Amino acid sequence: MSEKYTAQQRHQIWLIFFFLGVVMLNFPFLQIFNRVEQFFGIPMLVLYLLVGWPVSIVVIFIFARSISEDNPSGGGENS
Amino acid sequence: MTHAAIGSIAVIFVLILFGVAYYAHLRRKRGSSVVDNAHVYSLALAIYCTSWTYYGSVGRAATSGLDFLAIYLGPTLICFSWWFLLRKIVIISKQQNIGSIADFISSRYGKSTSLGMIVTIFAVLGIVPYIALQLKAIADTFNLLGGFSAEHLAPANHSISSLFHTVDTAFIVALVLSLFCILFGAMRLDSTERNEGLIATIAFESIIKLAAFLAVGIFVTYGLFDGFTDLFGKFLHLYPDKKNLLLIPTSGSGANRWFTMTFMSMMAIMFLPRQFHAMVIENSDHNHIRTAMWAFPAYLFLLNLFVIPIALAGIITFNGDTSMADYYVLNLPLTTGHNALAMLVFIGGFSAASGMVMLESVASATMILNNLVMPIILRFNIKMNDISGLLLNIKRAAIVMVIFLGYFYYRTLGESAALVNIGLISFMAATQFAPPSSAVCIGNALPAKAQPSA
Repeated sequence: MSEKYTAQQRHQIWLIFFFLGVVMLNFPFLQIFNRVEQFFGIPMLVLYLLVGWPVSIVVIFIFARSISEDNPSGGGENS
Repeated sequence: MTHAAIGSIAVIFVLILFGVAYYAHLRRKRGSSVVDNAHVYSLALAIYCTSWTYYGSVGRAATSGLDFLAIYLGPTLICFSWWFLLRKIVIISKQQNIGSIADFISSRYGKSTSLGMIVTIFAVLGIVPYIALQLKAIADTFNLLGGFSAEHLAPANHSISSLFHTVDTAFIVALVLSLFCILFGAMRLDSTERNEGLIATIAFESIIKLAAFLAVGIFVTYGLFDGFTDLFGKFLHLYPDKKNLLLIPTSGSGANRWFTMTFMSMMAIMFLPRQFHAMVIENSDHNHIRTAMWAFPAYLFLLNLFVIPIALAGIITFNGDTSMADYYVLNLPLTTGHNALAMLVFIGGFSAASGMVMLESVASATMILNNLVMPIILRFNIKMNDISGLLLNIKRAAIVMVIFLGYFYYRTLGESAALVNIGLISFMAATQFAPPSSAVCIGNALPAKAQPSA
């Protein structure tokens, strides 16, 4: 994501990722991983959350980096 | 450890906090703020992590499974929206000179005085149990560290025996925190002006609590045990009947509870009075949100990384006894003879609890002054020579009142409830503010040049 995305497109991308996050971190989706079988010695749900959580943070990081700064007085961004 | 030794270290730590606050205050006077940057802003938002997170998460993980994580995943999800939602709230608040969540909500309804009063009363009543929880955590850990056993943890037995026979620990803590808030949270009357000393202290405390928790997490996982895999293996081997602790409970309304807690935590991170204060009122530049929207969830993740290992290690070490699970974080280094680490844990927990009490009481005092006291003064047209001095003293009295309401709640009801259950009461109160706050955001169009990028 960079300057080539318009503000509206960025808003839509945010909405998609937000709802994806809500679905992936809620039931019934979570039920897929809600079991004690182990993967590399770590229970599946713990592994899913310990990997999925940082992934969502990275997504926010990439998203935040794509936003250009406003001027501090509240001016609009260049998009 | 003796109470005198623990007390002395705690006093030294409080003096360091005073030093940090004073330094930030001096730098502001010289015009080179230490607080005015995105990283300090992100650290200040970590005020969300109180002793509930620090001690209570482990207790919850050891007794009911992974559902404690909903409280941290919710805020991570809402962070996706911050550039649109939080930025809009910050800009609206600056334009309208908003000083608290009560001002913010009443601004939508023609600065309605009665609505401001209602919000203030609900906000203050809602956070009293939360403050009680922090005082309970400090007092309990102080006494655990001093060698008291579980039966001494009732509030009535919290006296610092060697120094003050009749005064209990939580009372002294409440007194010291009140003093700190009066000094650094109520220096001026202008509630829209930022309290740099207080914010610097809170950011500093956020670093301390994360460092302390990571230290004890690494010690337990890699010192007492041989890593994550070893811990999970031993736990499942010794306690196969407790394997449901590695799951999210779904029996009955478990799935609904997970969703509800996620949603409530999303609202709490936005509308708890102290969160609103740290995020909106103390924000110096809304571009800081760009960094905070990933740095804050990253902080939450790091703080929660070792919660499950500590909980499992506690169950294994204490032979399945979960009656003191809320304090595994402290008891694990203590029972293995690592007193210095236990002291660090206590200081971390003290940071988590005191930061919350300070900011919450200052935010509440601002609301009480602006939305309860001021309307009465205006209504009765009270005229005095030095009204600003009076108002400042009322604000100080309100800070003390809020902290001591928490103290009395703890003395009367605090014995019965676990840390997490008390905290949820306050989350519920903050969730009530979500619908009217949404109305403010929808109803206020930003000027064209400040439109969020949507």
